[in-house]
Amino acid sequence: MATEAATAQPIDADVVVIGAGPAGVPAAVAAARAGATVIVIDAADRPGGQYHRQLPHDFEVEDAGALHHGWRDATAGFDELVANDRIRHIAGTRVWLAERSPDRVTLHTTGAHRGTVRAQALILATGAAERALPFPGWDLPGVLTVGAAQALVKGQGVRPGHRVVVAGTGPLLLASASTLVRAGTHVLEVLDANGPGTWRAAGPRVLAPGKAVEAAGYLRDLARSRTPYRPAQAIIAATGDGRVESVTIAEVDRDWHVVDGTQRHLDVDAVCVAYGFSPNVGIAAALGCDLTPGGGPAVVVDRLQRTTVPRVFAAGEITGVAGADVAALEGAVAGAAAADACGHDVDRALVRRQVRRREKAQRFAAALQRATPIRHGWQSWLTDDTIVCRCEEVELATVRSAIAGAGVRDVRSLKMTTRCGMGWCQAAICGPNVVDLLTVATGAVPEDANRLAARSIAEPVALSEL
Amino acid sequence: MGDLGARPAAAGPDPDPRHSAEDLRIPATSDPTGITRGARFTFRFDGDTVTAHPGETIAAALLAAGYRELRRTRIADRPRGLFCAIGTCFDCLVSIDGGGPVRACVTPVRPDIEVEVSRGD
Repeated sequence: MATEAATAQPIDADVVVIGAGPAGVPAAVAAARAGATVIVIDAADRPGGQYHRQLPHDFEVEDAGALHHGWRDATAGFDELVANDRIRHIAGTRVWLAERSPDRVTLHTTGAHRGTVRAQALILATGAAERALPFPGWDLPGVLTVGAAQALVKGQGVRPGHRVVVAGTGPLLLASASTLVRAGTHVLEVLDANGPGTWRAAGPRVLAPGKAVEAAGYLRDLARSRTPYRPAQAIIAATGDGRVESVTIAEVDRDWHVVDGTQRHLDVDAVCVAYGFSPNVGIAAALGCDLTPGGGPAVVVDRLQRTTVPRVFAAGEITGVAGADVAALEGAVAGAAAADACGHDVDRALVRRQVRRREKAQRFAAALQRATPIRHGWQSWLTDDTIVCRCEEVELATVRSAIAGAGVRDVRSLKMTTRCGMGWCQAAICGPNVVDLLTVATGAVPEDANRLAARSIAEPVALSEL
Repeated sequence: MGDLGARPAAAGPDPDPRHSAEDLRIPATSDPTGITRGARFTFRFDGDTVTAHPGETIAAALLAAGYRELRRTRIADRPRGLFCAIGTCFDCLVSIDGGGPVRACVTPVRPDIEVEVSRGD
């Protein structure tokens, strides 16, 4: 059957960038400035990624940057995507298959553009997905990720609820609570499972001047709305009839085990949880790029953002979660390096300066990661009937009996035995948690920890597109 | 059902008391971004008439109107709703005009569509 997708002419460019977020936009701009023709493919209708998510075209806005950080630099990049005639931005489009030959990368796309894009070099700027930890009741309607709350507020002008608790850990916790408050949401409390001791242990770099100012701004927003910020506390359960109506909150120790006798309840109509990020490495893994070992895999790159696969570069959170500032620097380096690989002249002195700035910024990011670890004590919040895999409705008891009873030691066997990770989301949500459960139960990181990330088809597609 | 807390009084008839009457859209008066939405239109959700604005996703319009449950799960008939809101988790599946499941969080709402809770996906 001849579909439109099958007959569409392939589009060619020197460099193709997947993702138009904080790394992808600077990557496209840098490659184009060096003389390369560039195609940027992005799932959203407007550039910005999850971090600089924009309101739809149909909304008229007076101050689009009011809820954003680093908006001026970001919009300069968006403007150049349009103004630079060497760049073509393909919006509303996802890559579902990536193929590589010695001299070319071919991407198959679905969405607004159904067809094929070919290039000499590929830059992966696919970002990271939020990590969500299970707890009893986490699948009730009304329990959202903080990223979801950010997407709703920044991308749709809708607040997640009337009485909201924000809980978890990580760099997004304070930032998103502040966004919610500024959007007029009643945020009852902000709970950080990590305590102040973890911040001190992370070292002085987390208190770098610019960053301390940023954090102080978030805390000021919370103070203005009289929202308490409570370290070393966590949501350990949610209950409700068909939707979340109440949460159980408890103090937790350094390893996130509940401190007995500290449980209390709060009536809510929405909960926003944040437990850091997991890089979106699906396409990179399918292309054969080396990943770092462990449960939160990232793409391995060198100083010039080259992956272990020739002509494939990676920039931003996909190479390790470090925030938008680092992503922009990595994008600029990757763009120049990709243009160089296509035979264009690049400003080497500029690239060297960007590499140095990037390395400095990465040290802050590493300190921030140390300040917001995920501790294994979260597993003690779970009960036998807590859902681990939301899609396939796999309960903790099923996972535990596969490990203890059937002697499962690796991700693949666990998947085959329990169906964890086999549903709609293809382990995007449960993957890192399943790896953690295996790690604690067996005492070792499973050998195939990265397997859940390495899917060949990166996006569900209709049969008519195959 | 648990304590509903201090909810604002309903502005009009609301068939389900769990649907708070206060719209969750950021009000134009207190909005730092200064949003002006386009002319509103209606669509249907499980038989109810729901208001939406151009550019909104199905999930955002339903959340704003107080609806939380978007699907029922295949195995234990569990209620599910919006979770990641960026198209990753597939928990917000709904059916449009009797068709197969789509993600409410990445699907724009259109006038007069019939949206239904997805069951068994």
